[in-house]
Amino acid sequence: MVTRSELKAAPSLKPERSKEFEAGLDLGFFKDRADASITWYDKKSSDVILPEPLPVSTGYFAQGSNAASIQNRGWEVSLNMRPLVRADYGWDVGLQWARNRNKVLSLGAGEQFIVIGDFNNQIAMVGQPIGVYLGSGFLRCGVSNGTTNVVAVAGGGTDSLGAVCQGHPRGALYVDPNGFPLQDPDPRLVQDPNYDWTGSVRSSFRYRKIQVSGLLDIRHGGQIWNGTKGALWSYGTHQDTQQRAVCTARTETGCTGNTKIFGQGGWYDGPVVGPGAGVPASIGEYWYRDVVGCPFLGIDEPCIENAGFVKLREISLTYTLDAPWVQRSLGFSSIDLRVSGRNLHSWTSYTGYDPETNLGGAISGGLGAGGVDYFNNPQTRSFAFSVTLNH
Amino acid sequence: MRRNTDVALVSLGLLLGTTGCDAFLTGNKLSENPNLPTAAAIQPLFVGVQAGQFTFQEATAAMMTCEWVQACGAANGRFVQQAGQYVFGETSNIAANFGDWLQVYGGGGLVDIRRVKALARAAGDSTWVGIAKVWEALTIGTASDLWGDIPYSQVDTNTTNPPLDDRFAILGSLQTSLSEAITELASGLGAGPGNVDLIFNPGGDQSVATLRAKWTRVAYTLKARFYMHTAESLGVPAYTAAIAAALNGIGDPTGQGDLRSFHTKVTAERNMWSQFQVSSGFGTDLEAGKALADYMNARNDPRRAAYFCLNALGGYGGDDFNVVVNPDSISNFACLPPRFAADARIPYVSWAENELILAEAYAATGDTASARVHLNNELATVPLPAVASGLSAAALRDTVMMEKYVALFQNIETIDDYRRTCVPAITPVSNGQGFTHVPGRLYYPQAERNTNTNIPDPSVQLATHGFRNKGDVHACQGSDALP
Repeated sequence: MVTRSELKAAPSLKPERSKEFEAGLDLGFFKDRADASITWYDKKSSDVILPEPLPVSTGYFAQGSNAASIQNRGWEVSLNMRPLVRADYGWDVGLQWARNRNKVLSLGAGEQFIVIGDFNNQIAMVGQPIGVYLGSGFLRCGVSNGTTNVVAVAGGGTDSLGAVCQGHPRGALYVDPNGFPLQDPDPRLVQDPNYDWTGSVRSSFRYRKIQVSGLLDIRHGGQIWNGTKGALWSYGTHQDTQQRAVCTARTETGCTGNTKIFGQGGWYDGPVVGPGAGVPASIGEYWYRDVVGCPFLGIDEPCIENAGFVKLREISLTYTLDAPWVQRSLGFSSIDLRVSGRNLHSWTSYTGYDPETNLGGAISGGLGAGGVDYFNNPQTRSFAFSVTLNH
Repeated sequence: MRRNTDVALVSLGLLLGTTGCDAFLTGNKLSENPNLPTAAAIQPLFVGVQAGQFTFQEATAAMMTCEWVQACGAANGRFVQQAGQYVFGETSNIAANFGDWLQVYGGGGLVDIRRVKALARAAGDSTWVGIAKVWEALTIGTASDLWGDIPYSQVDTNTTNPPLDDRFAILGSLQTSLSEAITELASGLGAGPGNVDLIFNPGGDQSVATLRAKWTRVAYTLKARFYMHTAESLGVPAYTAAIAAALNGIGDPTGQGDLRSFHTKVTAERNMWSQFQVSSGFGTDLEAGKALADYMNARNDPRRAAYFCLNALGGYGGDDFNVVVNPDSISNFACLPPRFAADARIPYVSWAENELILAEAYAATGDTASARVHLNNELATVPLPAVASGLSAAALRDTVMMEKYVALFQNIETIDDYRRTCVPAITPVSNGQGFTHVPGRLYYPQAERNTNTNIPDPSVQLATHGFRNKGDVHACQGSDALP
């Protein structure tokens, strides 16, 4: 049996090329008690090879192509300080901050976007950072198509969403007569996994033969798709579902109890419009299974969370053995005994296990398709004892 | 002297080695991958076409339409059940995703069907050309049933932005193509596919004349089917044309003249319904639909054992998307009843369909006597008692469509029958998607919309003609009478 390959041959691929302009400044202060560096870079990669989509009706779905040009532009700043430098003790602090702005500058002429995600519909789209997620959201004013979306209005009948939204702020949530929001049938960008900025704080204190050091990692901004929560909502095993309405049918009106009003009381707070504004909705199996179960055709928007965090990446305690017997008996100039712990604590608003995790791992994340949580393992917390022999 | 000899031998060795390496680096074993041929003979290509279309006709689109007409039910809240509750979109992993679309156009689909036609034409094999045209008609006709206006007339591998053809233009084109197929098959030229015809000749024991005759009858039944797809809009002329075609359609009540899939118990060749039960991990999510099971129970229909597993109460029953049903009363398919067996052959175009097209069309045009004859012909093979005379044309038509609903279980055509006649009188599933009727079509897949500017946004698709295909004049709602 033979069928024609649906991946079209790429007869003329060229190598990818990058041009980078970088400028920096290194400074030293107070007799080397402090130093700082600032770097600005602007890198443009052209002829980036991606699987360029083709109209499936041609019999092919994609062709390898020099399809994209991508810009990465950003700042890297570091400041290292050594406030105390004595023979018996010392203290140093290092601060780092970096910001990268990534943008797809161009794609081939034939497509709106190229899918790069290995699980979700994360894409490269002109004018957007690479890896944004083209997913599903609720009907919202100024965001959803105001002309083609026809919705129920107060007093019966229907009208365009645009008419219903007149005089209401952009982003206001449309709520139907039963008090529930509706899915926007058009996909839209619902997630940007790229961080606004990253930073770290490193410090160490030394007193005679003992040294204590620590590292805080900071990621600010960026979004993560919490598919684990969406799946557990759908299964009814997430803690959120412990309080739920009693449902005799999986419909908007098939449940009673556990009422919430969209837009207020901590329940999807924000402006709402439509005939159901202020109408209590019973949140139960219908809501969790059929509306917000994002991995199973539910709406993605409720599963998008802030991926920012501060993580106590490492604390270590080191004792240095450098007594004469070490040299005499063992032949080493000194021995460092070190106890350390990694990933000890996270400060984050993320409701999953770990905002740093990614289903496709670091490789996928490095290619832009980060911010996917679907039953992946969190970063491991580890404790280590090490002996370093210095000769 | 010895040193000179050594130098000469080394030099010779280097020369030979270099020559050998050069040949190794330029030989065709380096540049040609035997596992990735760039050209295919018509025989393996035609097998690929048939396998590809078995997949299209039996995979997610068929399962979803089975749920939409409530011949199938679903449980467990995962994508199978959600599909039945109209939770689907342009990127869904059921029905509207590009996998089904790719089965229509990609490898094993239209691109390969056209290649088969070209190869057969070049070989002067009109028999094979005719058979390939019938396959193309079935594939494109089914795709248009699901998506309405689709790229067809200007589709080729180099067209970057193929326009959508009007559904009625497609159906008209398929009528022409099927007429051409009948002419090709009547020419008596060519040996045809022989034993790579998996539909009628997998054993290689049929004569080419027999194959031509069977494919000709399938072509006529398909013509009748496509006329019926215009009947809600065009009325009597469509019914009349359908009758004329069906009178030449499949005439063998044994099933040997049906266009049925061909499967074996080999893992990769199993029936798709069976594979879904055994290998997908979602098999038990699919259940019998209450609407179908109740109707068959009421008639003590002998086909129940072939369609369903016994429920926990020792009988047959189905699930209802709208009403909570006692789980013990629900039949599923986990026991692999005959229609779900690994080697089950699913009829795509059948004698039963042909007889029931005749029955419906005669009833719709007022000839209740002829309608009853063809209905009873079909019922007799089940076997079920004949329908007595005296029914009104509308009541007779309703009975015909209910029998067709049962007979075409697992066939995508059931959704067309429902759209046209609103039979069975099912209640659309309560849903949070804003659908007040059974959805009239599928969304175009996002993969096509991304690269084809002729594909409208999903919200525009929803807002156009009530999300129904051209010719689907009347949106069915619950207990609607026949239009």
